[in-house]
Amino acid sequence: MSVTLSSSDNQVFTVDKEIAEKSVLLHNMLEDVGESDNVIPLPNVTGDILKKVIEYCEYHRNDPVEIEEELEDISRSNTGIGNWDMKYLENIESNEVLFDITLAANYMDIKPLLNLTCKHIANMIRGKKPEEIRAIFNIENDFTPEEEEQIKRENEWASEC
Amino acid sequence: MNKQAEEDKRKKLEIGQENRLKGNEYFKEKDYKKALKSYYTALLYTTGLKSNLEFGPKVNNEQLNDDIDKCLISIYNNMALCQMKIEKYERAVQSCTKVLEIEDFNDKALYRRGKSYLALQKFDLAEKDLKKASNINSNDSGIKEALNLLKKEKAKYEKEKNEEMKKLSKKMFEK
Repeated sequence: MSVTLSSSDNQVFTVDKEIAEKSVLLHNMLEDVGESDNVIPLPNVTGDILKKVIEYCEYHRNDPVEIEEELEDISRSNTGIGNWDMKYLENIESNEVLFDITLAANYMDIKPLLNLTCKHIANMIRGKKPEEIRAIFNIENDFTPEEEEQIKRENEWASEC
Repeated sequence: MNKQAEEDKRKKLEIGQENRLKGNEYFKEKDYKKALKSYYTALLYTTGLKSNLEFGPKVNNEQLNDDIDKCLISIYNNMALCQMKIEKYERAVQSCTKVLEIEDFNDKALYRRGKSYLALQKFDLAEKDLKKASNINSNDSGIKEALNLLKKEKAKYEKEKNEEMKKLSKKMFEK
């Protein structure tokens, strides 16, 4: 049994039903509506990103569905990025793509993938200086020098830890 | 947000709305599966338009954000009703919860979730939702009716439980 998905830029992907069902949104839809031979539109994700999402779901197709509370525990801990997942993250060519995959996981409701990318982003931030973080995320510094001085003073205790 | 991105979002929202209305038509015809399908399609267009992730495409347009929320609330509330009609109460609970994540005190969602909990015999959760709904909308006859039904069902359930316990303890002492 396979399902056909169409991205925002009209790239079409045919995947096994179990793979599509890694997405809770699609899982619920297929369960409520039943099988259909129609193409399922995914207008809020591009084909290039969808391809990467499918790649993840294909590798993890046989993973057991994790219970919500367990997932939360895992997302808080820093351990547990498997070898394949690590390679998957390393192969992502830019931060932009990483963010788009995160958004797609959020849109399609694929919690393990969302947790993985979020954890990776958290690791990118950990231990970095504000200027470095701004560079990674393309954030403009909109503090005045006075404001910045004040924030540094107020948070002095944190940098000593 | 640049104009192009905003227009793109508007267009998707419009397609979402069209599918939602199509779903309403099917609902009137009592074709709940087809209605649900239209609502899911509407969802595929509108969910994720307003990203709640910090680095997502920022929507700085208040009006657009509001319209997206309104559309999502309406889709999920209608989906819940369909799911109740085909007796998928757990799924109906999920749909109502999605509404309540956007708007904590939506009386329709509270009422429908309460009724779904009632069908699932989760009486405490049902009571919580229905009471909240009745606080917002104290004159609604549907909510009143549901609260009455809840009382009856709960009493019946407890009575049955009691009988069962009695039988069980009788057996224990007979031996």
